[in-house]
Amino acid sequence: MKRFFDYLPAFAAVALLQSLVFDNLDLGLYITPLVYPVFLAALPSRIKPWQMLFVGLLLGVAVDLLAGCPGLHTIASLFTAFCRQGILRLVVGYEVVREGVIPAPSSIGAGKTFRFLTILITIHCITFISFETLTTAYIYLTLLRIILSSAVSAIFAFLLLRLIDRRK
Amino acid sequence: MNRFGLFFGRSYPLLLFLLLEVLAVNYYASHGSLYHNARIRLIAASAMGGVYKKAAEVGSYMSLRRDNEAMMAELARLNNELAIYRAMATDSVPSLSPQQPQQPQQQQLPPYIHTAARVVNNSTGRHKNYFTIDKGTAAGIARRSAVLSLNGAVLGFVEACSERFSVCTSLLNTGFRTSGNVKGSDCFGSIFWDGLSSRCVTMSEVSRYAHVEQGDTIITTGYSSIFPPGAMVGTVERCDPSDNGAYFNLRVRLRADFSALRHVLVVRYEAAGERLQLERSVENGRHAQPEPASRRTPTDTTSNPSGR
Repeated sequence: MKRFFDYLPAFAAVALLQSLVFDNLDLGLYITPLVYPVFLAALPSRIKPWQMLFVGLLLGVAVDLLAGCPGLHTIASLFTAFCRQGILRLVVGYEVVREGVIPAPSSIGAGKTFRFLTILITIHCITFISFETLTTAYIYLTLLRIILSSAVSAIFAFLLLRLIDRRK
Repeated sequence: MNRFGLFFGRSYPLLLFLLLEVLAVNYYASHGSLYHNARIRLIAASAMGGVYKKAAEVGSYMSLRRDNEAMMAELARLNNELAIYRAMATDSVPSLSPQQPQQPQQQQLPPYIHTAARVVNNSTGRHKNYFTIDKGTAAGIARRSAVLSLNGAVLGFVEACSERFSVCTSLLNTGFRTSGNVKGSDCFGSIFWDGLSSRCVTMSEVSRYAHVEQGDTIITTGYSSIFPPGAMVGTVERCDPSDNGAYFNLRVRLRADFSALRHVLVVRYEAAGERLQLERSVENGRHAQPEPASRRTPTDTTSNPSGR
């Protein structure tokens, strides 16, 4: 319970940052910065699967409520939360995940952190943008949007994580 | 129960994720824009359509055997009906004396009774080949019934029956003999297997004056008390003169594929017993002029079946 309250400020900060700052950034038609999955990325590796899904659900609902979006962020963050452990195992290895680690540049290195974030945020962007468009009519434009949004979001998320990591 | 618990323990994250995701998508579809609502309903409908289609395909695959058995039974019934019509057509030759009144048409039984069966054992690699079918005396199968393929080709005859199974002598048995003739002509010969190829049999003693060509069809004659007349055996592949030059020996390519026997039709000749009895009594020189049926006592018909 204590740990839950430890993460509460970060949860609120990420949700507010997404809805108040990144949703209002005008980076062009094909760039939608989605940085809030950084909160899911920064959770400890030994978190239980149901806890991970629960946090994903809460984060998605919170961002949806703040952004006035009916469930789109929830769909994407649930899928990201579900994939998170697998991606972390893929990037840092099964043993490291089992021993327990908080994915950050200081613990697993900048390169692995950036790789982990990029994969996680790309999956999040694919889910989000696919459910937003729900058509294959403009598949190339959708792909372009996914690539640009993922790249920009991953950079922002990495910078944010680095900032939090340094402050620790 | 233990296994279910183990399965649930392993896959609960996936199940929980699917449950939450479905709820989220449902919420998105019902509270989102009209476009998203319509698109999600459309995708869900086509996905469910695909699932239903696959389920229907699996269901129809699972019922293939039952459908096949129903079709076989229907085929046997139609063959029985066809045999009645054929017999009626043969019997309905106009009388020479037009004054003679026509006998009223009686309820006719088919001269050949067809029963569908499935092959449960088969051999083709020996000199004496047999196959077993899954019908026996309980299904009305009797010894010396003909066995034909579904397309009417000769396969063999029933050698022995139990209540639920019958063993049949295959055409690919060196002890098998029947008579056959070339379709459309009167020349006939004796059909047997020489044990060389499972694809061909020999038809010997065909008159050397017969006009036989490669590709001619060989069918059974009406001389047999086992096989119905006109059942196909195969087609002429080669025509060789016999050693003494008095006859032709025909190499006949079989119509039936004995390596792929699955379903067969057993054809029982209803009058076979009566015919054999009469023929044997004449051969033994003990045939007596039959008395009218009205004068016979019940013991006359049941006792002394061999006519001796």
